[in-house]
Amino acid sequence: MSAALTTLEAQLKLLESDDPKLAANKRLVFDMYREIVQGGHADRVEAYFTEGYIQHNPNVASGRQALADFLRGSRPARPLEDRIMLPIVNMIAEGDYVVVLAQRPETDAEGNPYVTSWFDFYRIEDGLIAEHWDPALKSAEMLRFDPNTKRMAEQ
Amino acid sequence: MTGADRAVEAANKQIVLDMWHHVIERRDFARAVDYIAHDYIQHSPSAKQGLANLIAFLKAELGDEGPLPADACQRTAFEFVLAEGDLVQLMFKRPIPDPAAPGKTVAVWWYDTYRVRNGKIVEHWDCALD
Repeated sequence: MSAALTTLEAQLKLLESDDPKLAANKRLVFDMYREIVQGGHADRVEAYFTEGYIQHNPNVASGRQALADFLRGSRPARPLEDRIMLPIVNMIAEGDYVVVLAQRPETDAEGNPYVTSWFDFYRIEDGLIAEHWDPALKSAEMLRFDPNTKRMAEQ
Repeated sequence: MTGADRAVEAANKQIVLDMWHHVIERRDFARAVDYIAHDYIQHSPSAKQGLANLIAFLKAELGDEGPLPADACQRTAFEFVLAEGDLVQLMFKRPIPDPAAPGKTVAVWWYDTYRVRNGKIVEHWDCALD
């Protein structure tokens, strides 16, 4: 149960909801992942984020412009893909919030690989992402961190 | 989303919050079986599969002095409790060991996701590092 959803069909199923607002919010986050998180298209932040976007990740400043700067400093622009290539497991939407849950490969202090989970938590306001939380700790490495390095090996 | 679905989502949230209060905050491990399936799937790298391993992990982690009276335990201040379908999402600030300062803690946003089916938690994810 609950392996990463690697096919477009399985990912589109996650976006379904009888509530059109929840479906639209999940679609916004799905497209933002493809274009911004994966694609690194910093010039497209206006399509997804409010100008005053509040960032709770302690390594990145708030604001849409700061996000664009962070993207340019942490990853190259890549060709757009039709689905999320990170090992996404679930999306949960309620009210103005969307949570993305993905598998996260890590290495322990002894150098042994293991898998934990990563969470991105978004608040959506009038069709744009207005706030973001994740479990990140403050670290200098995070400023240059490209989450595309966390794709699973078999993908 | 129908009214019946919404009622299930509300009930699922309550199951997770009741589990959290009695099993984790009050350390009443004997009640874990009321909320968690024996063969539940554990994705956290902290604990092994199944209810018996979870209880062993919690006893080691939290101590076995419970159960505590409700007014003597530390209550968790949840920032968010969300539900959609059979999933329930918790988010709260949690102190974890600070990798940059040995012996100190640092507060991070902590996440737990539970899948609830037929009144029992059957699957769990969190953002724990090994």
